[in-house]
Amino acid sequence: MAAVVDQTDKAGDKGLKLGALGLGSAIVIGVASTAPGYSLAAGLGGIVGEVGQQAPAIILLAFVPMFFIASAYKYMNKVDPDCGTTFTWVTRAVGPKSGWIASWGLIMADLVIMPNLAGISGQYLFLLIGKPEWAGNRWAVLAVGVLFILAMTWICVIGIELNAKTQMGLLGAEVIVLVVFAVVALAKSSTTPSLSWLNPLEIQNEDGSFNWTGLAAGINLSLFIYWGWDTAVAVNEECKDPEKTPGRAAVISTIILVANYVIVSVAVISVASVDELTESSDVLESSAATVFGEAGFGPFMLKLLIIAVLSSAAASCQTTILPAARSTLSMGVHKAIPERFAETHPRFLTPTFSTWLFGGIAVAWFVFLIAVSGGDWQEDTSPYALSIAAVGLMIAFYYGATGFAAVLYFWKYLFKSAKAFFLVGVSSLLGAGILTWSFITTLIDDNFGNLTKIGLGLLLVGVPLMWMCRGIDGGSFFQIRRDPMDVRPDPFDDGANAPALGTYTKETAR
Amino acid sequence: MSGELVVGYDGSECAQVAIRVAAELAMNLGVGVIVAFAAEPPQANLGGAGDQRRLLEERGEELLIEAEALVADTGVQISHRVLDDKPASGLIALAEECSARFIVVGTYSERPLAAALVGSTPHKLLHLSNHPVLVVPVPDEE
Repeated sequence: MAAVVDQTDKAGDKGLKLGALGLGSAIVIGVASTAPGYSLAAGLGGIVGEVGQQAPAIILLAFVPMFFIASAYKYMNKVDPDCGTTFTWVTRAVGPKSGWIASWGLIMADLVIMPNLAGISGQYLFLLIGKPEWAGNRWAVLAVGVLFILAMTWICVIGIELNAKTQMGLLGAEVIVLVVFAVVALAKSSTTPSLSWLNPLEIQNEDGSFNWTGLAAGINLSLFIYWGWDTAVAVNEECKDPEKTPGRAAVISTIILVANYVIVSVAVISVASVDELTESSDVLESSAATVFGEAGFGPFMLKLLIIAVLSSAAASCQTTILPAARSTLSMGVHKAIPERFAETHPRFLTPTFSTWLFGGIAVAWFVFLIAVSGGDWQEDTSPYALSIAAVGLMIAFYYGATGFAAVLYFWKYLFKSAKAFFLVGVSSLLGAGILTWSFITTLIDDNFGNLTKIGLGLLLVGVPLMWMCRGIDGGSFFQIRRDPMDVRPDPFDDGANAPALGTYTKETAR
Repeated sequence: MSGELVVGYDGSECAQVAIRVAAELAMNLGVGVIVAFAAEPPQANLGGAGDQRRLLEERGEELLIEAEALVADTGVQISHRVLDDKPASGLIALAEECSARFIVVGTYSERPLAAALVGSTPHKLLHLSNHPVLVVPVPDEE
């Protein structure tokens, strides 16, 4: 049909897959998938707890490994687009067992964040309806949180999503509310912000020596607030003007995100003393109440901030459930886990089994955490509060695995050009190296406490589960070997794609 | 070749009625029918949607072969297309591409819950399509 050829140059205007994203939507995706409102509400308290006034410095610094690791995502995504993420990439570069476990890390990161998402939603819902005393009651928060998880899972099962314009509107409102909060806070604050808050060298122990463990723990926690930023880089190929839009979108979404985090954290610290901040598990809400006050527009602005955090948490919940279910779907398709995970519902056309199972386990994990945390559930050291830090561990694990995978996968290209050496090799390796260091240092610093139990425990559960999956389809997945060197595409060759996963098995090697 | 009828098909009872009506109309008009299934994984831009996309394609192929069989007796010229897009925008793009005479869909889909929350496909088509849209109800059973 000649008509098809005639249409290709207009494809971008017609909502077809390729070239569908304009600059605006590309920025929205980048910022929205990190959910700034929710990330600050959940993560800032812990970061301030670790490094006090140096929180803005840590937030700036923690962006460095994210920035580096994003290049691993970018180039792996280029040669193996949209098929799987960490799961297929690590399988290709290292082998099926590593791919399985790395993917397990990703799924566990998604699982571990669910109680916190649900908890924040419960707490903020009570604040919204003017019942702050219920927000401190763990059973009330649990009840609302469980309903929230079930509702969000259901939404993912039936496959509804907001359109791009609505998302853009919600996100715009979220960022504006956060900036207004920061500006008002800075205007009213008792302490003058100091430039030294941005100086990473001043992350010190009480005796003035550099606080390496604080740095590691801070980075580990900050990973969580930037989590999702890599998505923005990965979708770049879908942009309208692939030469210019992706780069601009990445730069602009990064600036919006980093600036937003730094300004809000500076504002929060200047409003309240560090001692006050570390005592409260949610620094955003407590300082916002002080900043906006009781008079005039104050209560209204506070409500807006609460709504911004709630909508951000809901969006974040969807962008957590979907990739988790998608990872298990992918693993099911490749026979790495039982095939049921790859079933799609005949009507909803979504991976129903994967999605409900994930939602169900998330509910169970939430109930368990709240139950074992007891009355101190909001304290820094409770298993519930520690789950944020545990998410950092999981992210460091699977991002790190992805970074190392990119270095190994593109090994033969790394020494062919300076561009490949620095953009692919050095960048991925540095990112993965920093993440590995923060992972290990955080574990050592925890000294086999609750954080280690949750973080390492959940990762290790994957090993027996993988062993149980060894017989599926005669173990066909575990017969896959890594892509032979000569078929690995050049990361800078635009048309080159890696062969389908499973093309090369241990059988064909013989 | 142009002037075909584009029919949206998702396997629902309503879509089955729609494809019958479309085939009869096409016969009278002396044109062909393109039956299409459109679905895309939610938030495709989150990445990792490839395997889900492939499963959707397989499901679409199955359904469309079923749809073709439904109207095989009419002898109308029929082809099928699986679209990796949301139903409304996919059907509109396809209608533009082949200069369709009109778009035919059933009144309700297999996803009433989603339709209630974010609007139904016929509703969106009526608003957005530059081509005439024929919305076919299921006749009352009496």
